[in-house]
Amino acid sequence: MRFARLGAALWTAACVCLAALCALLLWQGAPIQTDLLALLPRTESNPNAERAAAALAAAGSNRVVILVSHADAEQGKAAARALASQLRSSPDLKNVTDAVPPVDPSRISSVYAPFRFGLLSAADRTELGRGDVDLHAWLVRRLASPLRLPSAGSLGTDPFGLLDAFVLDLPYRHIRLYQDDGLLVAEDPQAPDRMHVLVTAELERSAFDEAIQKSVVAAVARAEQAVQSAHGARTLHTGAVFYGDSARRAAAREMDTIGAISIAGIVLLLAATFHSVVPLGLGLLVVGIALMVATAVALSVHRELHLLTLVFGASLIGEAIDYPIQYFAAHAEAGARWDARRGLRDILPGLTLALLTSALGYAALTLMPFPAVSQIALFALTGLTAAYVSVVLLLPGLLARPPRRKLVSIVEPARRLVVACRRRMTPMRAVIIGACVIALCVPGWMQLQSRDDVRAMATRPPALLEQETRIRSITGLQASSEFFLVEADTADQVLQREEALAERLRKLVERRVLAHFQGVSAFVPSRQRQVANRELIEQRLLGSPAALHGALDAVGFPAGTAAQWIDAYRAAADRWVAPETWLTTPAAGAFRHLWLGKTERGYASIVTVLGHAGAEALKTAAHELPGITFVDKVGSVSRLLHDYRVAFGYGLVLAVALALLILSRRYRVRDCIAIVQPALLGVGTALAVLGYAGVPMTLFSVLALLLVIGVGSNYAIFLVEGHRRPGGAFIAVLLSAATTLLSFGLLAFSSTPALAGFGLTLLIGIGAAVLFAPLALSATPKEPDEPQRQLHDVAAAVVQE
Amino acid sequence: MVRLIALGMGCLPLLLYAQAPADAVAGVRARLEAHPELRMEFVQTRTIAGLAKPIVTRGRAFVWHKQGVLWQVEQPYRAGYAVGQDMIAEIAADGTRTVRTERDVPAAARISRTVRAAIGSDPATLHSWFDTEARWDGARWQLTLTPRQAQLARQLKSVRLSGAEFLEDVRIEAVNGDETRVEFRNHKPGAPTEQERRAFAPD
Repeated sequence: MRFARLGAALWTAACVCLAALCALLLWQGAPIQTDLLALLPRTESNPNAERAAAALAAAGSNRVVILVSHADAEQGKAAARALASQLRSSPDLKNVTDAVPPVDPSRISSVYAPFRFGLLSAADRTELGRGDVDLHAWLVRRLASPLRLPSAGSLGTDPFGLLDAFVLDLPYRHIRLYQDDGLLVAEDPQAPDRMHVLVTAELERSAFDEAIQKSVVAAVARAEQAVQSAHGARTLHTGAVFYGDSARRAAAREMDTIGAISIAGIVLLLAATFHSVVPLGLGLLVVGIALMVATAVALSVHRELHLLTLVFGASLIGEAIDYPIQYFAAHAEAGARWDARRGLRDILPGLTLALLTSALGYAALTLMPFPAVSQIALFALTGLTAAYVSVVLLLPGLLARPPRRKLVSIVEPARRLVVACRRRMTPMRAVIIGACVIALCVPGWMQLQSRDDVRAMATRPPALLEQETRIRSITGLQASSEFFLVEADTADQVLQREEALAERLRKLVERRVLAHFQGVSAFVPSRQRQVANRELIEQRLLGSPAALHGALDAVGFPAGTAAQWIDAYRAAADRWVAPETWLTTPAAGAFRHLWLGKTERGYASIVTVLGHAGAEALKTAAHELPGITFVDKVGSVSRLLHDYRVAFGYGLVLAVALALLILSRRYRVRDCIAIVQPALLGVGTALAVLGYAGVPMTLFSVLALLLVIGVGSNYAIFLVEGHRRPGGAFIAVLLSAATTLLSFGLLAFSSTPALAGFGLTLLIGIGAAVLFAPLALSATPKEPDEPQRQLHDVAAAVVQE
Repeated sequence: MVRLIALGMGCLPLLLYAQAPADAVAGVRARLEAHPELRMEFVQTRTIAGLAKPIVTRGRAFVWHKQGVLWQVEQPYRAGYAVGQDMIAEIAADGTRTVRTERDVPAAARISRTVRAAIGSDPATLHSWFDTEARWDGARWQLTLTPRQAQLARQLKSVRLSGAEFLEDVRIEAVNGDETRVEFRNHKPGAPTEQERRAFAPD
C-alpha cells in the first residue's frame, strides 16, 4: 500500500514537472512546422545533391510572386507600382521588386568583349566548323539580315558580329516577360486583362514560419484589396508562404473540430454509460496527462511539432481513453463489492498486453527516417504509456469508493451476449467465419492499387493551384525540383562535363522531349571550347589576312579594320572568361544559383531542366557521362515512400509475429491465433474495401494497418481477459471502439490526403476488428489461477506493495 | 529583349497595318486590307554607321494576312525569312530551314501576336509600343512611328512608312546612326504557292 502511494506521489510530481516544462516550451512560442520538406528524409547519397536540392527549394520557397492584370496598360503599371510600394511597408517582406534595372545589351556585350575571340554562338560554331567560308557573302548576309539589330559593340572590333550572335544566344529567352517602363510585363491580347505586371518580394524568414505566414498573407491581401478598389486591377499570387499558410490553417481547423467532436463524443458516451460524472472527469484527467506528457516529450526531443503530429495527437485521445474505460467498467460492474486493488489486478493483464501490442506498432514507427512520422510515433508511444501509468498509479487512489449503484441494466444483456457467443464460438466456427470473410475480401484485394507520389499526399488548395498555373503560363516562369548535378575536380572540368551534357540535352530539345535547360556553360564556355572557338576563328576568318582585308574592304569597312582585328586577336591570346569573372557581372543576373563553386568534393554546378516529357529520358541523357547525377527530389522521395510502403508491408507480418510471441507467453498457440484473428480480419477487410472503392494504398494506409493490428488485438485481449466479468469487459470494449472510431474516423475527413487515407484505413480496419472480436472468445488464458506469474508480474508487483 | 528588338526590327514593315490614329489611317487600312495576299519586290538599302557604303539587297516579299510575312532575299545572296504566327524560320539557300517556335523564343510569339494584332486591326496593342503621327492627303499617306518604350527607344529612333494604294517605302532609323530603307515595287495580289505555304510550316 505504501509502495502504491509512493508511486502515485512520484507520478503526480513527474506530471507537474512535465506540465511546467510543457507550459514553458509552449510559452516560448509553439513552433509548429508546416513545411512539407520537413516531412522528407534525405534521399540523395551525394551530399552535394542534397544540398543543391535544398538550396534550390529554399530559393523558390522564399519568394512571393504577384501578377497585376489590367485591361489598360497604363492603369496596370500604375496599379503594380502602388502594390509594390504598399508591400514595401511590410516589415516581413524585403527586396520588393516592381522596377527592374533595364538590361542593356551593350552592357552584357561589354562584359564579354575582352574574351570575344573564344566565344561563338552554337550556329556560328557549326557553320565555321563545316569548312571554308566565303567571307564576303558571309559578311553581307549578316549585315543585311532583316533580323539584325544595330551592333551592340563597335563594328570595328567585331566586324562579323560574332559577339552579338553569342550574346543573342544566351539563354535569357524562355521568359515571356519583357521590360516596359522599367517594369516586367507580359501581354496577352486574347484575355480581357491583357496587361500583366510582375511584382516579386522576398520573405524575411522562412515561408514556414507561422508569424511570417500570418503577416505576409495579410499584407498581400491588404495591398491587393487596395489596388483592386483603387485601380480596378486584378491580381494573382503564388508562393510557398500561401500554401504553408493554408495548410497550417486547415490543420488548425481540423485539430479544433476533430478534437472537439472527439471530446464531446467521449463525454456523451461515458456519461450515458456510467450515469456519473466521476469517470468522465477522471477519464479526461488521464487523457489530459497523456497529451501533456506526449507534447512535452515530443517538444523536448524534436524542438518543434509538425502539424501532422497535432492532428494525429487529437485522435490519440480516442486510444488513450481505452485504459481508464477498462477500469471504470470493472468499477461499475463490481458495485458494492468494489475493491480498488483487486479491481486493478483483474484488468491489469489485459491492460498490459494491450499497451505492449499497441506500443509495438508505434515503436516500429519511431524507427522511420521520416522526421514527422517518427515524431507522431514518439508522441503516441509516450502518450499511451502515460495513460497506462496514470490508470495504474492514480486511479486506484482516486476511485476507491464503490459506485453508488451497480450497473445492471446494460451489463447484464452484454454479459448474456458474450456468454452466448462464447458457448457457440468453437475454434472450428471461428475458422469458418474467417474463411467466409476472406472469400468476400479476395476480389477487393485483386483491385487494390497503390500510389507513392509524395505530391499527392499534401494539400494543395485548388484556388492557389489555379493562380500558380495562370501565373506560370502568362510569365513562362517555371519552378522545378529536377536538375543535373555536375561535379569535377576543377571548375573548368565542370564546364566541360556540362557541355557534354548540354550536347545531349540539345538533342532532346530538338526532339521536343525537353522544352528548355539552363547551365553556366552557356554563359561561360569551358577553356577547351574557348580554345577550339579561337582556333575556328583563326582558321576560317583570319586564315588569309589578304582575303579578310579584301572582304572587309569590299563591304565598305574603313581601311585598317582587318589589321586592327588581327592585332586584337593576337593580344587576346591569353584571355579566357571564367565562372568567377562571370559571377561578378550583371550578365550572371538570375543565373548565379546555377554555379555551386567549390565544394568539399571539388567543384560543382547544376543544370536545371524545364518542361520535359519524362524523367527517364533525362536519366538516359546523363547515362555514362562522368560526374553527372540526375537529381529528382520529388521522384526520389516518392521512390522512398514506395520502398517504405513495401518494407512496412513486411513489418505488418513481423508485428503479427511479435504479437503472437507476446501472447504465447500467456495463451496456448491455438488461442493466440484466435486472439489475433479479429485484427487480421480487420486488416483484410480494410484492404478489400480500399480495393473495391478504388482508393490507392499509400505508405500511410500501411501504417494505419500496423495500428489496426495493435489496437484491434487489444479488443480481443480485453474480451478474453475479462472472462470472469464478461458483461463489463464487453461494454468496455464497445466504449473503447466507439471512442477510437470517433477520433480516427474523423481523420478520414481531413483535407490532407495522407491523413485522410490513414483515417479511412483505420476506420474500416478497427471497425471490422471490433465486429470480429467475438471470434476470439474461443480462447482462454492458460492458467486462470496464476495470472501473476505471467507477463504482468512486474506491473502487478507495483500494485501489490 | 535583345532578340525581341531584333525580331521587331525585322517585322517593322508590317507595323503599318496596325497604326490607326482614328480616321486618318482608317482609309489607309481599308486600302491595305483590300489585299490579304500580296506579293511585291523590294530593294533594301542599309546604311551602317562606320561603313563607307550602304549594303543593298533585293528580293521579293509576300504578305499573307492569315500567316505573316515571307522575306526572300535574292541578291547578293539567297536566303528566306518567314515570320509566322508562332514561329520564325530562316531558310538557307539550299532550302534548309531553321525554325524557332514559341517554345524556344517566346519573343517570337510576341512578335507574331503583334503581327496578328496588326492584321486583325487591333491598334491598341501597337499603340502601347509607338507614338504615331499620320498624314494623308487622300491619295498618298505617311505614318511616322516613334517608340514609347524606353528599352526600344534606346535602339530605335523612328520608323516612317509611306505609300498610296500599297505600301511603297519604309525607313527605319536606329539611334546609333544606322538607317534601313526598303522600297517596294510591282505589287501583285496572289494566292500563296505551295513553297510559300511550306515556309510557314511549324516544323
